[in-house]
Amino acid sequence: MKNFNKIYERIYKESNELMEMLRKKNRNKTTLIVIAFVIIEIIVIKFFKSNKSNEIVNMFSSISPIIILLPILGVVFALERSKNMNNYNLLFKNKVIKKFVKEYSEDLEYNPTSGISSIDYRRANFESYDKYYSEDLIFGLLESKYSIKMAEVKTEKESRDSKGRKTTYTVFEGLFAEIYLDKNINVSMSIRKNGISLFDGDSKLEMDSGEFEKIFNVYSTNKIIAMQLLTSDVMEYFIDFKNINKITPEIKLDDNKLYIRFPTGNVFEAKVAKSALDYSILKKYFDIINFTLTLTEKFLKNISETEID
Amino acid sequence: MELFIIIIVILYILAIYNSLVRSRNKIRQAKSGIDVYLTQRFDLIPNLVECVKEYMKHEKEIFGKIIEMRRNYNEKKDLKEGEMLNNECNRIIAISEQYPELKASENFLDLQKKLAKMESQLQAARRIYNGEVNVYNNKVQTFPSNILANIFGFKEVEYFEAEDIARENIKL
Repeated sequence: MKNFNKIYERIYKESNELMEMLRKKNRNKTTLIVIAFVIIEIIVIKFFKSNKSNEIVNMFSSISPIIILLPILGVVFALERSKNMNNYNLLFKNKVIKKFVKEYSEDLEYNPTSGISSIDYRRANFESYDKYYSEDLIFGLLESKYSIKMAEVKTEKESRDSKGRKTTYTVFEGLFAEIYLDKNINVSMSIRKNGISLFDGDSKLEMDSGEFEKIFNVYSTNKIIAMQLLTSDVMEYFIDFKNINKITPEIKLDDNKLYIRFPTGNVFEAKVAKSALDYSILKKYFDIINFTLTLTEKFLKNISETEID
Repeated sequence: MELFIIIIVILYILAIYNSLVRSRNKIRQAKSGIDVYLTQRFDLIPNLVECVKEYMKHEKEIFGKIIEMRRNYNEKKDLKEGEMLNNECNRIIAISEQYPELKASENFLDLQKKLAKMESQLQAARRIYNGEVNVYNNKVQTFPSNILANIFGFKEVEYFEAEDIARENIKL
């Protein structure tokens, strides 16, 4: 298993100074903008109060100056902040995440502006949605055995109320991985978060680990193969990951395609309030990538050991 | 109102009863799954005996024993006997490790591979069975389904114990 601390140490040494300098610069800029915003507001209020005799001022004074100026200043503030943050974020992705992925495995590449196509995501058949977004693509061919694509995905659904007003809500936001195995096992299996389901049907498996059963529901078109794949160490691995990271991964296996998704919310984004090299955040990314690759290897090992076909 | 309550109670009882029946059927289905894999494995016994008897001349009594056990299993389809026979098959494979010539035989290697694959399937079938037994036993033991289970004679089912096999620590 890769050692996170070693990877972190290397990236920290290389990028922390620059990233921290830029983060502080960004934070100071933001503070300056807020101060400027307050000062301008005070000046305007004072100006309106001291020029009450002026006709134009009188006309506007019926409306609060704060109401007039707030949106304008707000937009200026937001634009400035967004420009600064975008630059900082892009640097974070190119300097920290790219290096982080490369340090994890030489065979993996990272492209912050690309994503996984909606056709690929739809094939996994996790849910129906109306809008689809994807970025932060990690991809590569590992040990010449399987190719992997992993990216941040967001899906949204639109609905209309009785008055015809449209509302959009997020269905899923997190990391999604698509892995092509070098072996086709002719089975469909899914591991979903445990929830109340009235239509489990015959495809649901009763797993022999109580703890695993509490967290996950397993469905398969071939129960024997599903059991051969989900050995006790694989189930333990799922439970450990869930307990450590508080994330419940969901799995779909269709013939030679393995799909894994993690409901993490927005990932690979820098925050001004926290260090770009925040240990716990990078550790979480590491654990997710590691889980994806280790699980794939465990499945491949079980497939080859038990000669599943 | 009273009629409505009576209907609700009857429907509730029916739902619990059906769920008990469904669980029991799932156990039967899982049990037959074990039987299928055991039978498939035992179908290889004649080949296995044929393949190893030349090399393992000192173990003749084992061959006679397992052929007898197989006949018994095919007649009674008793899973406990089936598991004992399965252990004997595993024992032959384990003993064969002591015979380098046998280990090198292509025929034996092929057979060993097939048996290992079936053992893994058998293991999976046992786990499915135990999972279904767990669900069923929970229903039989917990309130309120335990009341109906008692009335209609749904009895607890024993888990499949594979301890004997584990204790022998046989690696295929």
